[in-house]
Amino acid sequence: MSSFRMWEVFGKANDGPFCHDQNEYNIKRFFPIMKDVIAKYGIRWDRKTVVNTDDAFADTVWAAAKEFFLRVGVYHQETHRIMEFTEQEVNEVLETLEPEYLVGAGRDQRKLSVRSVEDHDRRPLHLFSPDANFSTGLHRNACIAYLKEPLLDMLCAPLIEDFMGRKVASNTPTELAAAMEHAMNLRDAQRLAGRPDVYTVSVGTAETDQAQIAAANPSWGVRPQHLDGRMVSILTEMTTNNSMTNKALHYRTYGNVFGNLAGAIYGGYAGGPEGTLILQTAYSIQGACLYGTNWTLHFPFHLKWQSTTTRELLWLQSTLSQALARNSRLIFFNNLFANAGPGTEQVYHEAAAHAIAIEPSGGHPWGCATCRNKFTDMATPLESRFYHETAKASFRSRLTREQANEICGKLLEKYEGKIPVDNYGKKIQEVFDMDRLVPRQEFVDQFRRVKDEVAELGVEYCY
Amino acid sequence: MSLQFTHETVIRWKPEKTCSLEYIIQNIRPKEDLIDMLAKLRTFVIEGDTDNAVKAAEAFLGSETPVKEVVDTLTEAMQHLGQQFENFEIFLPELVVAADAFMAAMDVLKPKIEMEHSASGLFKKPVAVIGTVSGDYHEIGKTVVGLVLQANGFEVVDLGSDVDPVRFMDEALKHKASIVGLSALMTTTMPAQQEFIRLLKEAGMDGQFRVMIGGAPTSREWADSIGADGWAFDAFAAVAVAKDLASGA
Repeated sequence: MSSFRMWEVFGKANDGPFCHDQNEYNIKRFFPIMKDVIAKYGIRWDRKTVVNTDDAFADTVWAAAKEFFLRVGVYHQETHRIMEFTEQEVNEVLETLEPEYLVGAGRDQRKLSVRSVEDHDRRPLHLFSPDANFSTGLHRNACIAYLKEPLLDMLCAPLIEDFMGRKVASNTPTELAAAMEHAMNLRDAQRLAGRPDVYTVSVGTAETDQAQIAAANPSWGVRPQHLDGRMVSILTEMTTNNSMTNKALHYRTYGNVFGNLAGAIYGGYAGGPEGTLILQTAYSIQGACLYGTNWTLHFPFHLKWQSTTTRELLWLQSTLSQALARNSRLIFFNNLFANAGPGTEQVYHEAAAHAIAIEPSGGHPWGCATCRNKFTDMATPLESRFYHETAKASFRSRLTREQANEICGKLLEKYEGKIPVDNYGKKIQEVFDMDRLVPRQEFVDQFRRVKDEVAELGVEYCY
Repeated sequence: MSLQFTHETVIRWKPEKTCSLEYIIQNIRPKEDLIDMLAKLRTFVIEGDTDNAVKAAEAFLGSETPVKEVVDTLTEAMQHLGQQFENFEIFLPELVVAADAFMAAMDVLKPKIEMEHSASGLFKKPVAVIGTVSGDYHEIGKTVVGLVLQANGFEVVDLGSDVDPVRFMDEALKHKASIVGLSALMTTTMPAQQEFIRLLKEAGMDGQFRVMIGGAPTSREWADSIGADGWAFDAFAAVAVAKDLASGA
């Protein structure tokens, strides 16, 4: 994004108004501004709608989100200053950013672009991602298993949890080494799966800036430019620090097409669904302005359930997708975090609901994380396959938002009451033959059965 | 001159005090007035109106109203909010401002509490020292736990984020903590929870505090594997666990 005035933006960390600590920022600035914006724009959820069909409301959400970002700014934890952006600066970013990028190479090169609401021309790109830790011994094979999926356009590979018998600890040599190993495994996996040029968002194992930098290497590690993606987080809520801006600088100098990782917490500082919606929408603006990101990964999650498939969060993600699609050139993904785990029917119901809520709303699907993201080795390509096949079906059958709302309602009937119950399912080794990297027959049969069941609700699967 | 008492009157007779008119006006209030004042204090706390909560608490300082009644009202208000928060009827901002009002009112009442109950220890609260572990800047989960523990009778010392294990130890000693609560929101910072427990053992302080851990990527299995005394799925479940640990169960 050539418009990003990197050094002027980073300088705001030292020039912005002083704020003693994050608590003061939250209480004296964040809360009151959010309350005011919600009231000013009349943002309200009816507690029933799952997929928004009101274009005017989506536009109002956009306006509210933009105003919120302009007024609240971003808190820098280490300099204790608020990084503020003027409307002129924000408009310059929004007007000059690129709406599409070529990512990956060769056969696996893809055009990552904005989509519109009920887009009949630009299909969703399928980013497969378990967003989970895998044991070191399984990691490379797990990456191959995902890369074998035909629908896969991009991959965010699983993370590594230990290195040489020790748990990976942030800010230590184990983190750097595990990040390097993750990148190396991914390169090997890509070659062995016959997909060497897939755009991979790397490396989740690296939490710190130094680990991200350590894993960057054109020959064995994370590749530069459009070949691989990266991510930098905004801390909850609307907060950053030097480690984050360091990452942003590294990614920009390394040439990556990279993203903003943003997860507003429903029930947290933004409050209920309305505030969380405004905040999450604002995060796309924040990413482009603060870090110069090229896309945003949205994962607004439930404070209690740590998932993105509750009724309010499906509504939120459908609405924010429409707000962004209708009013900007900001590229974004929507992250599926399911409550249930592999080998359960519930995980497929949740996956289908998320896919159908976001695809007609103009989103790109990113998934599937399972088990409230709590356990090692507990995600498989089958849940991601189901998720992406459903998103594809939604696109191919030109599902409208009205139809999506109805189908999501029926899917919620199947799993909404089960959310409080732990239903974590099985480890990958139980669901997949980890030598041949194919699902076991019992789970293939389950997959087909649930797919037929979802098809009866009105989803026209392509195969 | 006559005084008209139209409602049941609460009088605390102190023979050593001269029963002057001024004394009566200052110290005798109709019971309904007191009930009304308690209700107003409760409302100020629930609405997060710190200034008025402080004024309302101050009004009780010079009164003969047992401080236990006032504290019980405040505690009930916070528990009510905690329940609403658990049901997602209110959200974190409302709980934070209410907690501020609650703490401010309690600070005002502290001298009266000490005067009336220092011997009995009735209001002695178990202390929980909490924080997010070293290398981790996520605070929301830990903040929610702190608020919910406060609402349920704990004194909470919140160390913030990126807390060194030695600092956890030092602060727990300083505040004579019953419980040390360590939050980790990333798998790469979970090892710091294990490291703290190991540190306590090596410092010969094993068992001096009960250690609770939590955070999105943690689990009961992880807690058991590192020898933590307690783990809870979320902030609300954490209260029951914390109460058990504090009582020595």
